[in-house]
Amino acid sequence: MAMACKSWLLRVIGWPLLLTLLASPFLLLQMGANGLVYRWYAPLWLLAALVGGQLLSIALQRLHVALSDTKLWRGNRLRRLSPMAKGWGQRLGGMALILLLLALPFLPGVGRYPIDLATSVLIYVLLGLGLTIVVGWAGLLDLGYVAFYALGAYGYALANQLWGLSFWWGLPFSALIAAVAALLVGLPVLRLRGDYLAIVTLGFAEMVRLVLINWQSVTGGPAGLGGIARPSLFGISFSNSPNAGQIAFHEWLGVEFSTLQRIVFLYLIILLLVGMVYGALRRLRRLPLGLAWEAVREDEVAAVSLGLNVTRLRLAAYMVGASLAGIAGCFFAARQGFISPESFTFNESVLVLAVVVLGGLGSQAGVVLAAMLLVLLPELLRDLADYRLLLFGAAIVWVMVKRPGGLIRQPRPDLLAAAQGRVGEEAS
Amino acid sequence: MSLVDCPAVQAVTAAAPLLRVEHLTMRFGGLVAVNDLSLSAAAGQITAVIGPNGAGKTTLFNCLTGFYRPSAGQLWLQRDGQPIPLHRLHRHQFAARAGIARTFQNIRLFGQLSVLENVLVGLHRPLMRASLGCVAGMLRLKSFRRAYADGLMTAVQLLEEVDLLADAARPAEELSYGAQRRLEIARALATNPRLLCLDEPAAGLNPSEGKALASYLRALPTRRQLGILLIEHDMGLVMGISDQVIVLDHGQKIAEGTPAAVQQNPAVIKAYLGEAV
Repeated sequence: MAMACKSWLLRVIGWPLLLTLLASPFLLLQMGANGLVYRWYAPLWLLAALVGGQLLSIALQRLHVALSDTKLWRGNRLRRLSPMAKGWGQRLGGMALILLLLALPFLPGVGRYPIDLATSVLIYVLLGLGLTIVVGWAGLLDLGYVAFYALGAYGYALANQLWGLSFWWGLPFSALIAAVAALLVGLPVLRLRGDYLAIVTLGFAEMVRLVLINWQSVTGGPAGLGGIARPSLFGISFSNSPNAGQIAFHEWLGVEFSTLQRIVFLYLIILLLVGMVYGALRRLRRLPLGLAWEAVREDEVAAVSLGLNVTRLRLAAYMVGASLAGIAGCFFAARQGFISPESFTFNESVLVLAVVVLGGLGSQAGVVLAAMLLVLLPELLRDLADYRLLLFGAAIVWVMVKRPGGLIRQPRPDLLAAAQGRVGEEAS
Repeated sequence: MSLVDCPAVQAVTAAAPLLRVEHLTMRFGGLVAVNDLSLSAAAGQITAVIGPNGAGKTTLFNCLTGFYRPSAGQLWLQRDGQPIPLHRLHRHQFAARAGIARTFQNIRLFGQLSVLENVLVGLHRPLMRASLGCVAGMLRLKSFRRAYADGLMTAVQLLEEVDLLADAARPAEELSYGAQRRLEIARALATNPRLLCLDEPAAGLNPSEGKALASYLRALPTRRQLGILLIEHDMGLVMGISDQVIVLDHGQKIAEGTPAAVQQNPAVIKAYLGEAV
């Protein structure tokens, strides 16, 4: 009872409070006509909206449970029900969240900086989701995840410069490059026990970085590559002076040119990418493949005895994770317009790994929260920049000691309940 | 060549044993764990392998289930009238191609997965095939949803048989020791095996759990048309449910026969109790 009460409080008060605290720096200050305006009441609106939303979602969930037949599984009934049904309380909550995120850049008082920051957070969410497949689900410790991020970024940048590949074709191209690299690295290594993988991936990431630095003629060396094509929207460019054959967005819409337009567009692209990946992974986790990955993580020997091809499963996890990093790299290159090896150091691998560990191994919602914390906090606490790593370390130690499952521990899905449309009951 | 030797005739008669081990030898460096061992196990029967510690029982099991590659000898499993050479299969093909499933002496469950998910992993191959390399699964095509619901039904039935349905949503690591042993058997059965290898299934069970296990195992071979190969130290269980008992000592077979015959065998008594003084 005490536990249930605690989780209820956390849901209604705890999470909204945390999100409000994170968001309040952006909401408190607004650029007015004559300088900064201080709006002390803005965070309270957000808090009220979040608490209200949570209460509504809980009420809908209760209603749904009360309305649905909660009797135990009986006879052949399972057959007629969809095995992956979702409660509509959950569905409405998800939709509201998506709408809020889509509307974020257009809300009054949200300027360039918060949108840019949100874009950074979403890049790390994408990276974290990819790495959570490798580390959280398949249980492979990858210390060189940034290598695939770099390959995706350079892959798109070079293909764009050599063949004029556009951003939208660059996304699958980068994913493919990263996946092929993962195949080549993984094939000899994944046959071995997991510990070797950590060493090899660490070395691979360093190799990639050193090649990028030293292969001057192709990668531009430490100076990096510039002039990478920005994303366009069906031939509509977001630059002031578009290339031949392209229309400029501001002319097309008949408004004044502003770089804010491009920043919002980039935010919407990464939001779309992250949303799609998040949804796809949610499904994947329930599929036989996702289950098999977790089985291999839990006990390789038992998995083999049940006929699972462990090497192939690991390779698949490694490649899927790498291709997501490739996609993130492609977006990163297109967003910056300039890339250099400096962006792909070991520190990046550690940061993404910290996102995954802090969020709770394998927990998707945890990855989102941890990415927010780890990217936003250093921004907010710029004065404490020197102590950033110290704080990271302390946070990870705290998580390991107090919440070994991570900030958000993903509960096992109750498949039978899901099959009968009884989801959401565990919350009560 | 007599008619009985003809492979085609052998295949249709019950005379062809489910499992044939021929001159199996397993060496670890200088140690010979199994030495020129030949034995067979019949379908629809429980064959027990007993022997003192270090007799080579678990080594035999590990060869049969693909965890070791035999140093010498051949292993054949009869499936659908075809003998399958086990000694040529890759590790993960033992469950799929030959239909051999096993449990482990020290329980090996997927601890953080739920009880139901543990059994679903046993159904990996049919479910994976239905999901068409995840395409049908990601799109939630009707064919996959139906196959998935069928898989859930199979898993539910298996859990009901071992009396674990009420715990379906709990993580496997939370189960009691006896329940974990039962779950391991259910998970192995989910692969729909022809030969089920049980490595000390009664170890650590209390007497009433042991009794329940005995009656469950006794009924399994006929109900599911499979053979059981059983390693067990609990002689009460072995003698109570086995159709045939094979006794190993120092990697060699020293006796074979019905439980009653084996119990009277002087070589067996000597192996277990030592030479009379």
